[in-house]
Amino acid sequence: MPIWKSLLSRPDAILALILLGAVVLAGVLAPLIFPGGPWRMVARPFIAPFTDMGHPLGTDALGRDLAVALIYGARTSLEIGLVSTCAAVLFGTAIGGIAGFFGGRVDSLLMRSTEMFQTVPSFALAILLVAIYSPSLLSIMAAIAVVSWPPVARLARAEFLSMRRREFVQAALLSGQSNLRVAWSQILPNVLSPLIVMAALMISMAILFESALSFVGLGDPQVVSWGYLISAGRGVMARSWWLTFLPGFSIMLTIVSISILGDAIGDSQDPHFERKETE
Amino acid sequence: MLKTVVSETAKRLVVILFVVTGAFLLVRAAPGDPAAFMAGEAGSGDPAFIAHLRAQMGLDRPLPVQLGYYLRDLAALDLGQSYREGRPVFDMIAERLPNTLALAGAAFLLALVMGTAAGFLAAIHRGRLIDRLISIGSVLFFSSPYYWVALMAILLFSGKLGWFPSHGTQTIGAGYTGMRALADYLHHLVLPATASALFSMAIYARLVRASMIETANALFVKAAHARGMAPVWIWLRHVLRTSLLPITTMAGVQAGQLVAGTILTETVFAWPGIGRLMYEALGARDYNVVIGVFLVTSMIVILSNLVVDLLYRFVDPRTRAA
Amino acid sequence: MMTDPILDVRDLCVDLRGGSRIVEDISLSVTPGQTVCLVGESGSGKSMIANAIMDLLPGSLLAVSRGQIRFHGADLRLCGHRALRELRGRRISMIFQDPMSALNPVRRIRTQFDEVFSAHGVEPEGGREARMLELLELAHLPTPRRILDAFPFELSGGQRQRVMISMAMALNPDLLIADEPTTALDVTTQAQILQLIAELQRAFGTGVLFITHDFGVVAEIADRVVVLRHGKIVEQGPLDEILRAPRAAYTRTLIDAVPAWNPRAGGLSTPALVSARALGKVFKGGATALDEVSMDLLAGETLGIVGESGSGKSTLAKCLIGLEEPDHGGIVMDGTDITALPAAQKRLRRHRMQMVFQDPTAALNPRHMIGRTLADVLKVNGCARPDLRARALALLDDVRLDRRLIDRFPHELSGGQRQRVCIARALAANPEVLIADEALSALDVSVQKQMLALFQDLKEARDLAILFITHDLRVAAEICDHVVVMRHGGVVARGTPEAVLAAGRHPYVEELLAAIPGQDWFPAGGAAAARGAGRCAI
Repeated sequence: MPIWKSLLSRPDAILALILLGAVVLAGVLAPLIFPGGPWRMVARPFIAPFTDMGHPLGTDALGRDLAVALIYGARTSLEIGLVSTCAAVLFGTAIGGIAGFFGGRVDSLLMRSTEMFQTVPSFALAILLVAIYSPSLLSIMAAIAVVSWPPVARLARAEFLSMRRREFVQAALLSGQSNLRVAWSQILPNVLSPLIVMAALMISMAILFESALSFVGLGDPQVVSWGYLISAGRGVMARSWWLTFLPGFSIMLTIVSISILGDAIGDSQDPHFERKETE
Repeated sequence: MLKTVVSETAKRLVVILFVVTGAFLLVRAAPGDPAAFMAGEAGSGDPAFIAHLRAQMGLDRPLPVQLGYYLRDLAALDLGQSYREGRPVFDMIAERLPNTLALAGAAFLLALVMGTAAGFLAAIHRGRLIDRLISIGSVLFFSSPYYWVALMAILLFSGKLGWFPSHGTQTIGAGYTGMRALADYLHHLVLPATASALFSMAIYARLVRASMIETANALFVKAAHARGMAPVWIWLRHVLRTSLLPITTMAGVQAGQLVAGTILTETVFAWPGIGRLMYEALGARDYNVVIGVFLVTSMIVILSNLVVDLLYRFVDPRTRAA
Repeated sequence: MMTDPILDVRDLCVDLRGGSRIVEDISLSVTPGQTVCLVGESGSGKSMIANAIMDLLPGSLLAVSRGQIRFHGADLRLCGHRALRELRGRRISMIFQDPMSALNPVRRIRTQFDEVFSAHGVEPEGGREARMLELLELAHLPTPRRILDAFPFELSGGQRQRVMISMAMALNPDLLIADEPTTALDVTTQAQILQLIAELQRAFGTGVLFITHDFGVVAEIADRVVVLRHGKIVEQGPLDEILRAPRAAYTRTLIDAVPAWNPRAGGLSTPALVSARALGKVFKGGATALDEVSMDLLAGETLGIVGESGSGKSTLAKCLIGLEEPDHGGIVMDGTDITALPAAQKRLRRHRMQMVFQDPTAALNPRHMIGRTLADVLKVNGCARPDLRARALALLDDVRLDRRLIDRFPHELSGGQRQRVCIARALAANPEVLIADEALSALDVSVQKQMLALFQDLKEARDLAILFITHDLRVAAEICDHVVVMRHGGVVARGTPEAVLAAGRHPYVEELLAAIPGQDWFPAGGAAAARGAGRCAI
């Protein structure tokens, strides 16, 4: 695979890959490594990081292990990031693809409604949605998906529209291939890479959204999330700053890694097919 | 020109209608009895308030009629009563709105100016140290939750260094007046505005850089070089000017996000604006207030979008003619 | 001429950064008032030489590695950026192929024109405004004041190029470098621009280095010709010498690639296969694309549709094939009006007409190998799965492509090869009608000749009717049985090439013919041909 090759040729991408791999692994394996869960009180409160090797990142005000909480938080973030992004990308691509492929009245109708969704401030809408349907993993994922599909739809529409006008697509239609077939086998593979890059960006945004929702008290009360940890640590920030610092730092590292990988994938997809004439 | 203004404004009115109807339907579709839901905390304890809500919402009538009532109330700027404070929601929002506008406005300007400057510097020094540093900085700010950056800023600049106050809009008990009061207000504004701006700033910086580098490859830039123009002038008059167009559209989107984002910064800095109001209302499940703030925020965003769209039409001659 | 050269390039080499040599040992010179044409096909490095002289090479990719670029005796490579900038625009000017993107789209012409003066701190007598108006008037722009107030998008292609030329001549430069300045323009506009450059050149005594791929243009304007191939000079000399007695075989090929002028008598009288009946179409903006166009394509004939851009010739083709819907009128095939058929019926008939597009790069899916591209078409047209590869190989044979190309991606092929693949794909549907929409204009001249031959062969072997859309009257006259000349969406002339181009022809046809460059050497109808015939020894 050329993508892997080009990723492994960039040191920043390798670092990002390792970091993200660690986060994913920790999140996936969390229940196996720490079957007790993140809520258990395991030691005395306010142990500073790196002072007690039994609890390397210390404990919070109730004596719960911060490292365990962070790992379970990773699980929540990834779960929400992936599910809501998938939903948004699928829905957005479908809407945008149909609009761009068929054009005309279908296009203007679909895009008008997309625009309306985009005009509403997304964070405020997400808050409203989660608040009304009471906070849970499902309502949070749904809310994030609802506020984040419009940019995908616009991108997919623009790409499909420009591909639709390309002559190889017209030639395929003229040769008798059906609309669905042309959209699937001629257009989609050519618009995939910008969509993938966007999806990477959206996972980041979803993680940020989830943490912000938890921070204002709209997290799922059943699970630990990084945003919740930040808001929980806030009250004792003056005394134990790391309880606020470390969860935020985890978010930052994860998202930096995702952005670097997204950029690297985007770069690796371009050159071969659009050979530029030197003249 | 007038025609565009009218048609664009009409378009926004449709959007506003869409938002309002959407909010209305969301509440009606809420699990359980809408009146009990709207009463929030009071749901179990205050039958008088629920009865009042029921009458106001007209729950025994068909849905379209209810929507009619709702729209009528909104048109009269009636956003309902806050259960918690027993006051009209509209008044509560109106008295806090100036603080939010000051915060969001300051953040917007800061992000636009600093972000554009950073992007410009990075583009003209492409591949060199300044470019790398700006790129790293923008990736970091783009990747950090800004309420967390805000908390860290409080730790450092108020806690450790003591340069800026960490909460509120004025020094309590100082009793400043006139220019002193304004200076005090601005002093309190520094941290919240900067913290709110960082994310947008990172976006502008990346966008300006990318857009300028693309424009720099355009044939008309080459033609300007062939004309013997000095590179500085080419960067400023041809590249930057042309690249700023996409930034204008982005600014519209970002202005909206900034207003919505104040919910977080105002919470962190105890800044008495509508974001903080929403946060408090969420905690108390005072839903009339939550929805009120949502609607007002949406209005502001839609308005700022309208302004930016019209501005864009004015700035880009190609759309002006069309 | 024994005057000292303005520009004297010696042993110029351009290298890819850290890589191969792109341009090798170029030596040429330009004297005052002289026009030197740099001719070559794509990839010959001709634009790179121009950019090297102006120091406009993209520095991160390319660099001048050796040689001298002497301007009035001083080597530009040694004179430093600041001094070079002083020369650019003032003593050496440049104009470009695409006048749209050579002007900043969001700034008025006035501001951009003004930069010519402000960049060099020049205050012309009578003020800048007056000088700009004067220059625009010299370039035959009818309303110079309105042009100054306009944005580039408000002007036509020809007007933009005139503006560019006025700006280039504003400070009375010694040397004008013109990089394919007429390639993006229609023939009639091209003729006017070439005339304008010649006029200004005479008035100002400017030396011109003119870059082109078109030997017609060369024959029209050059004093001296430099033929380039793969970054090297094949030969150079005075125009007469090069055209009359080219030494290099490659030059000969380029000269021969200009179609001969012998309008065919044509006149097939087979039954009509496809007919357009009073087709009309108006674009959204209100421009008329088709104005009551009727035409017949006879079985087994080649019908040429000739016109300039905006004449509606491509819209006509798109309507015939179903890529666009006409507003009114009908398209009759086998006695039925196919515009009235339901969508499903239309799809069933699609394979009977196929299209070959102008740009073969855009017409092939970059992610599909050639075999897949052909197989996709064969499959929907009823070819059984096990036979797909054999059939695809046979198609490659038909268009004379190496069978090994079946497992290649389009970007691994040359332009000519890609166009052959496009033809093979069209044939895969087993059509009765082939529509070629400017199918040659994106290809190099030497390749065009071969493609014309291929079209002829296929037509005979498969009994195809070909609708050949082109802006080139010469090509149409040579290969078509009938010709339809279009303008502003309507038909102005039709008939056999001989009849359309014969004496007493339509004034617009006359205009088109007169605009064909280089008629002294490459005759194309009318009086010009008679005048040049004596000189033309080839």
